[in-house]
This record gives sequence, C-alpha cells and structure tokens, in this order.
Amino acid sequence: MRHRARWAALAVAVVVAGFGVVLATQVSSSPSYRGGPILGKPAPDFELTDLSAGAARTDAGPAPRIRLSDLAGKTVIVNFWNTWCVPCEQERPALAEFHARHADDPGVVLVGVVRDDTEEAVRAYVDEHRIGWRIGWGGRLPQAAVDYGTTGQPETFVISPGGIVVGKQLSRVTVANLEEMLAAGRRAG
Amino acid sequence: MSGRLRPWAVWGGLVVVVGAAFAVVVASPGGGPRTPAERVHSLAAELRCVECQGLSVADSNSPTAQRMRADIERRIVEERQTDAEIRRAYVDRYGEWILLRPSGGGLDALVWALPVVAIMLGAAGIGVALWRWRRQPRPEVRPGDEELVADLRRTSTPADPAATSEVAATKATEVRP
Repeated sequence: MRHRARWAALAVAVVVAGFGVVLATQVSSSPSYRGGPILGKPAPDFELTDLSAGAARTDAGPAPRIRLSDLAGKTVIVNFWNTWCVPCEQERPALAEFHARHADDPGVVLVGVVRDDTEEAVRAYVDEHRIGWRIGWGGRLPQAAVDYGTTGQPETFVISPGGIVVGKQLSRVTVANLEEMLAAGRRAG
Repeated sequence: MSGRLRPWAVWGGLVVVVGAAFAVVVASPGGGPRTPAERVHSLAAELRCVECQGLSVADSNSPTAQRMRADIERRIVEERQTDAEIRRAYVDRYGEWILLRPSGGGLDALVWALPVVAIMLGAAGIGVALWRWRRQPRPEVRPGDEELVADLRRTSTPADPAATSEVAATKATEVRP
C-alpha cells in the first residue's frame, strides 16, 4: 500500500512538473520577453505620410512620403509611438539626442511610426516639441503595426542596410540602447 | 425475454455508440467556411488579441483587433492566401504565442496529449476495476438456499395475490436470522 502511494505521488509530481515546463515555456515565448520571430527576417516595407517638422507642407500636391524601400542601404531605426503614451514621452529626449548625434550621418535614419493616435494630435505634438526625425503617419493602427508584430508602444526595431530586422526593444529606449542598435545594424550590413 | 442484457451485448453497444460518435466527429464538415467573411471570423477567432486579456481578435473591438481583422480580410480577398498561409504569417510576426489553439508541435503537444493520456489511464483503471470485481468469488451458497429460492419462484406466479403474499411472508420469517 505504501508503494502504491509513492507511485501515485511520483505520477502527480511528473504531471505537475510537466505543466510547469509548459507554463514556463509559454511565458518565455511571449513577445514581451523575447526579441520575437521577426528578428533575422526581411523588414516589412511600409509607405507612410511624413508628418515631421522638417517635411514640406503644402495645401496642394501630395504629402511627402516615407518608404522603407527608399531607405535601402541605410541603417533604419523604426520607433512605434503615440503622443499619449507615457513611456514614449519618457524616451523622447533619448530619441532627440540620438537624432542630433547622427543628424549628419547619411547612413542612419530614425523613423517614428505613429501607432494609435490622431493626425491632429501628432501634428500638434511634433510642432510643440520640434521633432526633427521623420514621423510616419498611416492612420490609426497602420498596416505596419501589424506587419511588425507590435503589441503596444513604444516598440523599436533596427533594420540593417541590407533590409533585415536585426534588433527589437519593447520598452522605452535610452541613447545607449539606440547606439547598440545602430552598431548591430551596421555589423549586419 | 429476460430483462438482463448479456455482457457482449453491453460491450458491443458501447463500441457502436463510441464508433458512431467518432464517425460523426470525423465526418463533420472539414472544408472550412466558404465565404470570405466566415473565413475572417474563423481565423480571427484563432488569434489572440494582443492588447486584451483572454480575448480573441474576433471577440475584441480594440483598434489592433480591428486592424488585424482588416489585414486577414485583405490577405483572403486581395492576396488569395489560404488559412494556413495566414496563420503562418501571424506566427512569423508574433510567434506561436499569437495562436489561441496550440499547434500541437513540441511541448505544445502536451496540451493535447495529456487529456488523451488521462482518459486512457482512466478507462484502463475502470477496466481493471471491473475485471477484478468480476473475478471476486461469488457468495457461497449455503445448504437450503437453492431450495428456498426455488420455493419463492414457484410461489411468485399464482393467480391469488393473497396466497402469494402469505407464502412470501412465511418464507421471509423463515430466512430471518
């Protein structure tokens, strides 16, 4: 009888351990904890309206556009953001400093893609903070947000000059993070 | 006709019922929904809403879920992608995490295998218990028991109910310890 109890306890332990392994694996495979499956794959192309302060604004004629395919050969940092997102606001100084550092570097482009916001709010924010890097607007939840597998904001991707996604960060970035991303993009070539 | 079923009839009936249920499940329409809207809903129901807690893309009205439904529709209508291709596209972007129904590969297979193993173990346990129960020795027949039963059977069919109950009462008194 005692042996039976031991075998039963062992069986229960094995089942519990099995569920533990499954749960642990599920948690670690969540995109919140890992770089995600997009790493190492060709970056999905996008075409967005440029709302940055430096973009020419005219009432007539087509609005300036940002096409990822036009940026081939450069390391592109793509930052998904919103005006109402607190971590996005917290990382804005880092993005501004990184942009200022590399303003004269033709091999680097920083693109902020608006993820879930209104055009009016974005234009007002860009004017207020004198955003110098390129701001892509594709409507609320643009196709790029799904193509890059975003789950929220901010999310930042680095695309190598060869057009491969080589890095991803889900939380707010620092200047050091951005420099690491740039270095990774250049290494990948 | 006796009211008692033979064991082989019980097991045979069980096999027929289980087999019929299995056949219904297997033969149920497997071609998938036909219209694009049905396919969109079906696929959206398989995908996790990335901004929600425990909701599918089909159940959520969040902006991301709306965009994902539009993306699924675009893939079906414009790009003519199959359901498998669309699932694969989302897994390529978000990982297996995006699928509400595990694919069945790797450790995910445990989610499907464990219930089956549990059912099989339970069935085996019930089978062993029945087998052991049937092997238990029958109660020993004591002298006089067979005669007593024969008397009761003989007296249980007469036309006079009063006589029957009288005899039964007498016998009951006799067998009382």
